[in-house]
Amino acid sequence: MEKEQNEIILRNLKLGVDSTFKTVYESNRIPFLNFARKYNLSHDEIIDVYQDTYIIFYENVMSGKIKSFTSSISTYLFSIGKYLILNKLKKNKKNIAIELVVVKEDVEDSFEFNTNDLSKEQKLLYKYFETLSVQCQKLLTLFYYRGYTIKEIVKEGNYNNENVVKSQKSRCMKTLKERIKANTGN
Amino acid sequence: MIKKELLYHYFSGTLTVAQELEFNELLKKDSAFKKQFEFEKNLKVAIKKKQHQILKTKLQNFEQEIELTKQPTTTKLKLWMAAASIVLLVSAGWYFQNLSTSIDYKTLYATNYSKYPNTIYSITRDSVIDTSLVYKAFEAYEASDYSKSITLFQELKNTNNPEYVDFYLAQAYLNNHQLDKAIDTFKNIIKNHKEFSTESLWYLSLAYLKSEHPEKAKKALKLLVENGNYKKTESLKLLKKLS
Repeated sequence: MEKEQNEIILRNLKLGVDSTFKTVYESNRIPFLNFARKYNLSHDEIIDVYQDTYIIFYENVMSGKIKSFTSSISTYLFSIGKYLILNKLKKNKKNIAIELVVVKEDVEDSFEFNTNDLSKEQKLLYKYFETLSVQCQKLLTLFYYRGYTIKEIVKEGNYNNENVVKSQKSRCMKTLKERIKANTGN
Repeated sequence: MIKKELLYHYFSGTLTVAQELEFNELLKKDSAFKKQFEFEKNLKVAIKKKQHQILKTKLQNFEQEIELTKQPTTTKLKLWMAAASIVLLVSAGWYFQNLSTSIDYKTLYATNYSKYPNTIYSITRDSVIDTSLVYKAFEAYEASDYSKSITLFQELKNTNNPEYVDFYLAQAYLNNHQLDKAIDTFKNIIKNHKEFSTESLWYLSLAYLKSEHPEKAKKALKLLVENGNYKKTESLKLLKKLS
């Protein structure tokens, strides 16, 4: 029963069903807040960590890094959350740095993080990506973020065939390059 | 293979072993290819960052909704809730059963217990057929079909998991003679400051009575008396009988 339920949740999250995204956030919120309380963070800080944790969890589901739930959702959230909290606290406490080493290996193998700051090039792409048409943004997001194949994009975006998608994708990237070039000379 | 196709397969995660070799060779030798690869890789990071922002905003909005729907609780209430959860947790390990007295706890329970009404979902019994899970669950609860309502509340918990569901589930356990489950569920509601926390303290004390743990029941009742008005008179009367 629980297993079936989890499979439904996993499938809905992957499909981007908004109500599931919200329900899972809400139903794990209080257990997470209770779990995080022992780390001596303020309420606002804990909420902030919970949100970052939830996004990482969600993206790992979307990317297929989490293929099925081998334990409860809260267990995943706790391990990601613990890692983020320890990272946050490590700067001023030595014993935390030690605990972090132990947690790190385990967590970094299981999840993708990518929470680093953007490089100069990435910042430009971020800025000019937003100037692209909605259709371009959607197409590129489906491909690079959601990991859709061209075939899946044909279906999702009501395109006629794969070649249309491919050529549009090329055009979108070309526009992006041109805009960056025109504004920065890069 | 066309260079574009290689990049496509790379980002789709569908490169074959042979293609991967070709891909790595090109990265080393072909600077234009490498440049395009770096561009797409950076684009992927930038899009991811943008999606992060979108998701974060979404979650911040959820938080605002949660804050708005929260019932105003006084600091005092929060304090005693915290105290209650600590006491309940600490006391879990060292209770003693009062076997020597002649108090009949089961009768005390029966005279004090009344089922908490369904305040959640109106059961109208008119001609319109409501097939929702929540309707069926409360219909069974109102009809005192507790084992059925347990199954349905659990199903509800596994799907929508509304905040009130634990409280009604605990009520059903209590009536279905599953005392350990009822106690654990009430404790959990109090510990997590969920909806019906105050009411749960009262029913927890009754569950302890029913399971003949008078010392634990007294602790719960004292907390209830000290910190609010809910069932205060009844709690004081019960405490008197238990002392």
